[in-house]
Amino acid sequence: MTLSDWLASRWIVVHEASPAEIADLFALVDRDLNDAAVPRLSADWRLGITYNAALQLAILALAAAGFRPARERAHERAILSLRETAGTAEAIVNLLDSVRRKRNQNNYERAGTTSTAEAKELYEIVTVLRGQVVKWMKKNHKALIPRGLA
Amino acid sequence: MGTLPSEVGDILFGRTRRAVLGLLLGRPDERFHMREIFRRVASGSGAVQRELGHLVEAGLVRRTSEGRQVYFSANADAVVFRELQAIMEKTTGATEVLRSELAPLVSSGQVVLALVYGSIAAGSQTASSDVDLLVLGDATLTDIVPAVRAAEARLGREVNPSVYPIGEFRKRLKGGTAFLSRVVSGPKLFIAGDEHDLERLAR
Repeated sequence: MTLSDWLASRWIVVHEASPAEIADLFALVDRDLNDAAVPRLSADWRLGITYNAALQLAILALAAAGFRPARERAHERAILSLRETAGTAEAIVNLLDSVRRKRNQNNYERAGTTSTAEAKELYEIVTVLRGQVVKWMKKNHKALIPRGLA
Repeated sequence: MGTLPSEVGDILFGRTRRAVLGLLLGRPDERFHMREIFRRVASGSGAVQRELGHLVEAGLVRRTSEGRQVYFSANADAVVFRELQAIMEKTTGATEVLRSELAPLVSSGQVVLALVYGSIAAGSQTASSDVDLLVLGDATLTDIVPAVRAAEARLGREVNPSVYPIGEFRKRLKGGTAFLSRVVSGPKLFIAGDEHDLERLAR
């Protein structure tokens, strides 16, 4: 499915992103990736923060493409949209979608289900994802990229 | 209002029968020695023997002997075999579905032990219950998620994996992580390894 199909299905709505909005979203991503690297935090929490960074990357890529998720199942659809925006591999999108549910479990149901190894693995994946989204932005939406973005 | 899949399972099968049918119908090409069925089903031997007797009598399970050894297998020629297999998979077949999806990772040694815990292991699941999965070994989330998603598609249930390297599992168990203590002491269904392996890995 393309984003046009998503729009027709009302999974996303049209949204005009500004450079300031994209800069704010990148700042959220970088704050979360910095915080997720703090070793004294629990693995559950580190995974949750890293997932949030991935979610913000998905939302900003979707915003750069001219959309935002509709209210229903917004997080799920934002994550899945990475395939259509930044061209993220299906295996990574599936992993992030599984982590979305794991993070819900960690936050609201049960502590301790995340291993340090899982938190570390996700951190590495989302760090690479950030680089991919930046590269995609530079190629496709250069005018929206914050100044000095690494 | 339609009957929930879990209620169908509860109405049709008791816990032991569900477990025996889940094992045999989930692996219809294999035959199992009685001792292995006891071990995998983790029920009393008397109850398992009784259920096997009923299932053989009903023509749903085959009993074969070789010398003094007796084996049991699903009877794929039974009139209701396909339908029963589908019902088992949708209602109680989580362990068998996960076992087949995780098999390559078990064979490669990346998964040393895997088990289902929580409501499905306790037999108290509802239609919306997830399958709670603990995996021990060198496998990563990247390795596990494709198998988990394939299992989800077959089961119609979400699967929540927790993937622990053995060293971290042991350390956090000894450190008193309540979640792991509850999993170890609570109801569980083994996908790879067994209770003895778990005890050994926890030491």
